[in-house]
Amino acid sequence: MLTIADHQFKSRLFTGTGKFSDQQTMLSALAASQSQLVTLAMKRINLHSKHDDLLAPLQSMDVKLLPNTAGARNAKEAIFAAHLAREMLATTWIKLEIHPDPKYLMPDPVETLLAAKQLCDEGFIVLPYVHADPVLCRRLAEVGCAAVMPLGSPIGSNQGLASEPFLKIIIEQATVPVIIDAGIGAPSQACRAMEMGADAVLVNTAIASSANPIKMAQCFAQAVNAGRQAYEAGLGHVNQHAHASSPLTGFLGGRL
Amino acid sequence: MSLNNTSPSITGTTDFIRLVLNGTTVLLESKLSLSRLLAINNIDAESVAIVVNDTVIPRSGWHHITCQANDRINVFSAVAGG
Repeated sequence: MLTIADHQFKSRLFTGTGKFSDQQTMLSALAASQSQLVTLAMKRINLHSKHDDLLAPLQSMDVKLLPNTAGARNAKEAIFAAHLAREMLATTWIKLEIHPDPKYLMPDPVETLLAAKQLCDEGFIVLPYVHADPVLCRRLAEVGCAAVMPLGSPIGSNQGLASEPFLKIIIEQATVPVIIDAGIGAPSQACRAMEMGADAVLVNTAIASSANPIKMAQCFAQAVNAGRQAYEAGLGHVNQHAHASSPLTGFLGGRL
Repeated sequence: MSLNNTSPSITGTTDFIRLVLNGTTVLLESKLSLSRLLAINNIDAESVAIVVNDTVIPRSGWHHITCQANDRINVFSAVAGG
């Protein structure tokens, strides 16, 4: 069981709600994923167009909602977004993400640390999205973040665990849960992240952009579960040379 | 914005005020509470947050805080996101 702040999660697969072709597919995929932590964003209402109510169906599911600060370009805007989310959803949980660069959506480490410090001081449960920077992750834990969310590769890129060597360091040093966020494009990559010892993964695009999001959500659930169990079982050592699994001597007695 | 009966409206006895709601200039009856503002725009109060002049307004104040002339009011809701 994974514990973040005071909340326990049976599933280590967290999911996003973006990019699905329609709301019913999104809700069915979330159910299939068995995810218990689901992210969402916030936007100014368009008074002139009718839109689906996202919140009501999500609130009827057995999931914890994690609003994000997407769109914030600096600490001030992110803190504002957190306050907005607290009023909207009656939650102090916030996925802190500050990415002023629209091309690669790289998170701004300086602004993220500034915002994290203030929001933690205000009593928020802060889960910051960051680059796979072990030093930054330590600093974020020190200011009180409930978890860290380092990226595998750029948001929505499906490039997988490009940052793997640094993710390993973050996991090794972690004093708070490590959630690998962004870039995971295939169940095998989610499985790999869990085998490495990540506490959870957050997947959105890979599920939403699949030809069959519901089936893909199930695949991710299985992969995350398998990866976690493999981590708990303990992977064998990687060797440079072959080590026979079967006896190589004595068989056939040299009769040939 | 203003608290009811605690601060005079700059519009005095004017029946209507002009303000900017989600980027659009609108004409509204004066002394309209934020809750009423949501209702007349068919916005479900349960799923939104209100910002008046760049300040997030606590839900507890929506019934008694009234719209004022030239306010910039923005209503936000949850949308899909990762």
